[in-house]
Parts: sequence; structure tokens; C-alpha cells
Amino acid sequence: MNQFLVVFRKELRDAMRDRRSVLSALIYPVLTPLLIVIIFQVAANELENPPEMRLAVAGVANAPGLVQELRSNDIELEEMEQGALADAVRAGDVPAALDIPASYGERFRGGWPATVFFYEDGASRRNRRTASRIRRVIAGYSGTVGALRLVSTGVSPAMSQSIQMTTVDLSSSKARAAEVMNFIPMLVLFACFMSGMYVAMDVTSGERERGSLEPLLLTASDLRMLVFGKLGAALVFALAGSSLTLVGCVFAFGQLPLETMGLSLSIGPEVAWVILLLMAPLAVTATAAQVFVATFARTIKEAQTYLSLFMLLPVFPVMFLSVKAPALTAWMAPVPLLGQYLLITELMAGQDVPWAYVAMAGLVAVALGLVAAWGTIILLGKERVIFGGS
Amino acid sequence: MLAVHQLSKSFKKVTAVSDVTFDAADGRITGLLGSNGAGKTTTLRMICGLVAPDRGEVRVDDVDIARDKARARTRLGMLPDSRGLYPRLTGRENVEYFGNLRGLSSAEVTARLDPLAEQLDMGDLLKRRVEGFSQGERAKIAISRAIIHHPQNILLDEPTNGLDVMSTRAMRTLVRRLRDEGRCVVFSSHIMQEVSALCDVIVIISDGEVVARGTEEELLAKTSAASLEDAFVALSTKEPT
Repeated sequence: MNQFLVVFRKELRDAMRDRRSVLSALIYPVLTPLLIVIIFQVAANELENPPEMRLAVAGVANAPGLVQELRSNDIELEEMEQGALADAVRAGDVPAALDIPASYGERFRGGWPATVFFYEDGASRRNRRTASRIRRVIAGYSGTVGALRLVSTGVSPAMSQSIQMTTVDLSSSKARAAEVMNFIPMLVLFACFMSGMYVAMDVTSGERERGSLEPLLLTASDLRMLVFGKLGAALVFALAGSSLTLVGCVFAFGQLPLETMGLSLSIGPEVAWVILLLMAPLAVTATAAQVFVATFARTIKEAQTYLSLFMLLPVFPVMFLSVKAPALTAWMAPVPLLGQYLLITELMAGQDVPWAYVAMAGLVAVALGLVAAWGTIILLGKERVIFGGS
Repeated sequence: MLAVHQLSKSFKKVTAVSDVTFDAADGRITGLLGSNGAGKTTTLRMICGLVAPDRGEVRVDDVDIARDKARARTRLGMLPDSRGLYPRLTGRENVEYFGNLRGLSSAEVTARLDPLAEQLDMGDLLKRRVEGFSQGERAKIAISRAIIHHPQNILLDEPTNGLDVMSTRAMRTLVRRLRDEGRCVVFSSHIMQEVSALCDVIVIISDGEVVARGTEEELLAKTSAASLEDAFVALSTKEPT
């Protein structure tokens, strides 16, 4: 029998009997759909709950006009002692608070600027939005009253305004929801890295840890066959994990009421195939790199240390995109991870991607995997690796 | 037949093996006797081509291992220092894996393994997973997988290390049988009684150098010592001139 097949079959059988290897290939496909549902809940919250327009007020009696204006803007008022305002905002009981001092009425009637105190928690993203809306209402009231005063003295209110600025808030709830959903392509890509990792460690550093590498190399086997056989077994796990994760995602998205939410990101059965075509070559890169890195390690524990750093890689595209969100261009498609990430994002948004991009991403990923495999073959010929075991 | 000629190897500044020369004939058990760290294991690793010597030559049945490692290795079987087995595989699967890698079909492996299992009294070891095997049980599987391809030349690195009396006896019987089949057996050990009981020719290695070689009688005569142990001490502490 061909040595490649002998190694492949043995490593596959060995890995199937290893609870850790099997669990790590199965846990991710279960975890990902769950995470998608959770992420979706967060996104749905953004959509369903518009900012809460509630305001704590002290001294309502001091400014009936202002209070009337706030009420007519659908702001729910909650009367409170002046001393309790700051604490209520700090504790998050109300999004914002307004203190109207007793001097308000006198100054207002006298035509002087009447002072009010506005409390808000700038650190809370939700409450910041409520506070800014309420501030706009108060500023609008102040402007209207000022204009009326000028009219009463015979001056055109337009004279007092050199610039009139109208702010249009473009941040739709939908855009915010989409921002949250951006994590999903990365989650899916993680499957390539997670599912075969234990097998990759076991067939390399595990071999060194057990002291079985030296006898194995003594069998006069072709190093290339050994490496590709081991890589093949780890790849079976990586691909199985990736495919199952996609199946789970298709199922999860099928259960979510995406249409009614107006969200367009989804993984349906019709794009899942293309996504798998993108993920399979990336699984080759990931697994080959893991096998290469783990060969340096004398024990599985040591390999885990190296590979947990390596697992940070899938996070990089998202970090890059949070700084600058680029449109998919030709040069990005073949960049490992970045290309897959952007292409999957496009596919999830229901857009067509050029087949040439998918092919380029795949070719580069497989080529990188071969480079890593070649590196492993060289490593296994080194005395330092063969005898550097525990 | 093995011919080792002027092998030398240094690791950084430490000389592990220096100018080691000896022959190991077919149908003979050649013992490499030396203290821990004398260079036995490094010598064996160079013989099977896992460590490249700085100088010197190894011929396995007249094949230069540096020239044609693959062909030389098919004629070699080695039980190395590290006996690592695959714990999730059964005893049989462990041996079968190596047999398959050596080009034997699974049926051939079974045909060869069954008589070996009887000789080594392996009982149900072949059916059980290796996980939880004792030292002696592991050694039996390890030796089986090292010789499953019926190599002409067999290198055993301290094969009875950590074995109990019964396992040691079984191992010795096997080694003698291999010799009687006309194979060339090289046996490294630091245990005098072992070498004395088994080996036809003894090569004493001290500080990486061969200090003496011959039959036990020759070594005793040379040093006028009463036992192999005395001869060993006399030879390995003598300043090289």
C-alpha cells in the first residue's frame, strides 16, 4: 500500500479515537449557530428599541412653557427632587435629567438667558442618543422664544442668525445592526482554524511527546508521504468542521425572521456552497501552518501555546476593517483571510462575487499550504527535531 | 553484516563519538558495552542514518548508508532508545502500521506477528489498546514492530531497560533466536551480566572511543581480570596512549 495512504489511514483512525480531537471538530459547528442567534438578538435589540425618551425633571413648576414643549415632543417627564437627579442618571434609572432652578421664571420673563442644568451620562451609548435628542428640543425651544422676542421689538429674527445649520442623522438602526452582523463572516472563518487544530498538534508535537517520532522515521518512509498523510488526516477534520459549521449556519439563518427585520445578511443553501469553496483552501493553509508550527513544539502543551497565538490571525481582517472599510478590489481577493472575509461578507449580503476572485483566493491559499508542508518536511529531517523530544 | 569505520560526531564542543570502528558479523550478537553517556546511542543513531556523522562510514550489507539511506534502512531494524507507541491503537495496530510503512500487507504482518506473539508471550496484548501497558508489555510491542520486516541487521538500544525478570528472559531468548537465524544483532547495554550472558563479541566504548573489542575470554585474558566487570573497569579507566 502507498505510504501516504498508510499514514493517512492510521492518523485518521488514531484521531477518531481521540476525544479531544473529535470534540474540537464538533463543538465549533454547534457553537457558531448559537453565537449567530445571540449576535442576531443584539442586532434586533438595536432595531426594535428606539432610544427611550425619558427625562427626570426638578422644578417643573418653574418653567411651564419649556415643560409643555418637552411633552409635546413625546418626551416622558418624571418629576424628581433636585438633589436626586445626578444619582438617577449615574445609576442609569433615567437616560438624562433636567434641573430648572427657581430663578428660571424671573430671568425668563426679564428677557435674560435663563439657566437650566442638564445631566447626561456620556459613557452610555444608548443614553447619549436620548440626551442629544432632548438637548436639541431644548435648544429649538430657546431659539423659537428668542426669535419671538426679536419680532416683538421689531427686529427680524433672521438678523441674529449668521448661519443656520440643520443636522440630519443618517445613522439608521439598520446600519447599526449590520455593524453587529459583521462579526459573522469571521466566526464562520474560525471553523477552518479550530476544527483540525487538535489533530494537527497530535500528529506532530504529539509524536515527539510520546517518543514515537524516532521509530517512525526509522521505517525508511518517505518524509513527504509522512507529512502529507498527517496533513490529510488533520484536513479531514478541518473540512468536516467547516462543512458542519456551514450547515449549522444555514439552519440558524433559516430560523431567524430576517425579512421582517429588514436585514439582508444571510447564509442560505445557495451561497453556502460558494462559501465552502472559499473555506476549503483556507483550511489547507490553516492546517498546514498548524502542522508546521506544532512540529517545533516538543509537547502538545507547548504546541497549544504557539497555536493559541496563531489563532489570533482570523481576527486581523476585522481589525483592519474597523479602521478602514474597503470595497472589495482585485488585490484583496488573494490576500489570505482578508480575501475570504470580504468575499464571504459580499456573499452574505446577497451580492455576486466574481469567480476569478474565488479562484485566486483558493490558489493562493493552497500554495501557501504547500509552502508550510514543505517547511514541515524540512523540519522533520533535522536532528534537533527528531531527538529534541522529552 | 555491519561495518562501522572511523565514525566521529561532535555536538557543539562536546565530542560524543570519536573514531569508532568495528564490524558486526552475521550470526553473531555484538555487544556495545559502555557507561551511560559513553556514545552508544549516538553510534547506533549514526548506523541507521538518523544522525549524520562528521566523519567516517557505515556499510549495511555493503550498502553505504550515506549514499543510499532508503536501501540500507530496509536491511536494518532498530529498537531505539525511545519506545514511543501510539496509545490509542491496539498492539496489533501499532505493529501493523510500521509493517505497512515497510511495504508489508496487513495479511503478511499477521502471518509474521502470530509466531512472534507466541515467542514473546504477548497473549491478548495485540488486541488491547496500548494505553496503560506496562514497561515490559510496551517493550514487546516495540521490538515486534522493529523487526516485523525481517531485517538482516538488528540494532537494539538497551532492550532490557526497565524490564522484569520474565520479560528480560523472553527478550534474551528472542535475541538468541534471531542470531541463530543468521542475523546480525548489535546489542547496546551498560549491564555486564547481560552482555556477558548474550554477546558473542564485545565492543567496549568509553568516552566516545572504542577501547577494546573481542570475545569475553579475549578481554579477560587481555586484562587478566576475573570478571567482565573488572575487565571493563580496567579498560575504560585506562588512559589512552
